[in-house]
Amino acid sequence: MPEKKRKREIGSRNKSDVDKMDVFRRHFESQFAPLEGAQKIPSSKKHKALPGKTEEALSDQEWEGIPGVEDGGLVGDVPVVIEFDARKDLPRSVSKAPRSELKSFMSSKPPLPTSSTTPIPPKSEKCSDDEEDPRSEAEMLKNDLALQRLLRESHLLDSTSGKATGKNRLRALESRIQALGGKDITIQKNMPMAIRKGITAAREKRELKRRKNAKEAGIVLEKDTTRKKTSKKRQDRGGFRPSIGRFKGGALVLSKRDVMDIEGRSGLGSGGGRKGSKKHGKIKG
Amino acid sequence: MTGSTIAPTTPAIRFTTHSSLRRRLVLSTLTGAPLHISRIRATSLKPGLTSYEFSLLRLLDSLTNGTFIEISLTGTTLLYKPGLITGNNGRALVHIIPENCPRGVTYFLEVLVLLAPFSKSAFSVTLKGGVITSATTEDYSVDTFRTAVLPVYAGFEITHGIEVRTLVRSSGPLGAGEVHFLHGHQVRLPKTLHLQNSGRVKRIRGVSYSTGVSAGNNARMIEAARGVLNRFIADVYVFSDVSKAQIVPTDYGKEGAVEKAAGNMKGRAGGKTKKTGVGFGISLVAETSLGTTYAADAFAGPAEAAEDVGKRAAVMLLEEIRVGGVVGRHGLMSVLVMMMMGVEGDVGRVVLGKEAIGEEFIAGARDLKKVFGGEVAVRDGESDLLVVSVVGRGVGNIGRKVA
Repeated sequence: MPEKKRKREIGSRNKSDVDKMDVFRRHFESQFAPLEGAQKIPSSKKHKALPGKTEEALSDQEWEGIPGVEDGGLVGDVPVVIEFDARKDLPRSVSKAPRSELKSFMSSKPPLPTSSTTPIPPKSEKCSDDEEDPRSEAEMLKNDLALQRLLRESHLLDSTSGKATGKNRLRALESRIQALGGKDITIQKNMPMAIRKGITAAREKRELKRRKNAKEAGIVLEKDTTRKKTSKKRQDRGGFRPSIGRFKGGALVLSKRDVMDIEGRSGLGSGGGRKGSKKHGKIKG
Repeated sequence: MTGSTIAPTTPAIRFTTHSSLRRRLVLSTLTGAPLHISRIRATSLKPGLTSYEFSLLRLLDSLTNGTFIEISLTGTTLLYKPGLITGNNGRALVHIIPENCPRGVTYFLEVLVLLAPFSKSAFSVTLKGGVITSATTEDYSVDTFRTAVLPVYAGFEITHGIEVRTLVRSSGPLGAGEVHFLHGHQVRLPKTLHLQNSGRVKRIRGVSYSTGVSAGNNARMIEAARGVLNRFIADVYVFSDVSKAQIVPTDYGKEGAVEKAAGNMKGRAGGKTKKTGVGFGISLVAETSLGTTYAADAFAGPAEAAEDVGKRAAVMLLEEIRVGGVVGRHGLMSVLVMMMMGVEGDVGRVVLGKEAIGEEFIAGARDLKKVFGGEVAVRDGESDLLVVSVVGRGVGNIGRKVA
């Protein structure tokens, strides 16, 4: 039976025969259970999915190399013809070499292995940037900046319950200008002294209250930078003193540290904080 | 012009026939050992030295000081007493290669690059005349030289100031190109080489060149070559170089044409011109993760399709990669010579593929033994490879006392 079938299929009229068989089979199957033996007969429908060449090389029962395709029904009993052409492996769009690569390779100098390895990472990076990973170095930096800015200006959004009004926009702009070193133009220049003092006092009071509340609540606040630091050293001194050194026995005595200060040197080597404090103590004692 | 200052009593090393004449001349120049070569094409219809061999001798003479060359009347016997390699620091040297030179320009460049590290001063040589920059049947192209042979010298830490400027491209059989060779890295002794692993091929680069023919040939060659190579590695780029053919007098390359013109080069051949140096080819270089280069060259034969040329080059490159070793076959001789020149007593080792050791290698090793007195030891290594070890002879640079 299989021999017969194959002969028929290989013949030129195989298509029409198979079609007829298919019609009969479908009719039979509509009235009774599906035919087990007939399942292997390739239907014309199945063939449509295959390239034309494979139709000619039909052999149904000999080869059972590909398992599990019967249920798929596509290539159940047809040998798969793989046409190998090396050129088809070529990617359709031949990506051009980066310009740096061209320059380094086509220059008059020999392409050194050390120099040639460096251009590769940016290239691969670029590739990944285009395809999958949108977070390239530049983009990450950009996002980082945006986040920083948002954090810095979050208080503006907070006061107006999250509305980005024009006023807030101007305020944000102003704060950015100030961050870059611009002057605060919102500040009122001319004002009676009493009022100004009052305002400053009120601000300080408010700040103190905020700090006090925070301390009670156990919230860590930023360091207070508004108050000027007065050096203890300076405060402790009483009477007239030279700005540098000590006056002793009618002569100005300069310590090693003072000499270094004058000369603009900072200690021996690269001293850390500990070293400095030690020295400080030494001079005092 | 006497060799008396170099080696007054050394008897000349005797060789016969023209085989590997170039290599022998280089070895002799490096060591200072005089050469006596007899029976040069003695039985040939055109006996004696060829025009390009004369040209090479002339080039060697102009780059050295105190070279003594004596050639017999028929040109079949040559006595060569080398002088000091002085180079031509600052003074640009223009060397004219004979018009009908059938060898590629790398025939001369290989000599220059071997001599230059041991020169007293920098090399700056412009090669003109019958320069063929493309690959020929015997020589590889100038692109392969630059991208695959020069990196070999990086292993000996000879890297700085080396340039090969291809000013005018030209193909065979009658070339009219121009190449400028610069070499500014002179050493006392080259570093001892120890290379055990070749690494894996990480990228393939190449140059496809066409002179005087359609640039489409380049694209076709590249596509065919990529078709073969892309299956193995994705990182394949072949650059394209298109240039015009050179316009030369009609009698260009004919024996005696220049003499007939008697110095009046402008109106040669009655002012009639023709194109020369027309053709196309491709040079492919595979680089491994550890810096080894393998190269292949293909040049279009008569009526050969560009696809075939590209495919041929790609297959040749795959063949080279199959042979393996830490040095491609194109740079093998240079490596052996440089290892011989190395620090005295230091043993350098390189791992080579079995097929890299052939007739050429054996002949080279014999020449090295005759000139340097050192031997090349070959033993079996791991995974079907051979370990070649060479003991340095400490010849180094005579012109440079201090590195």
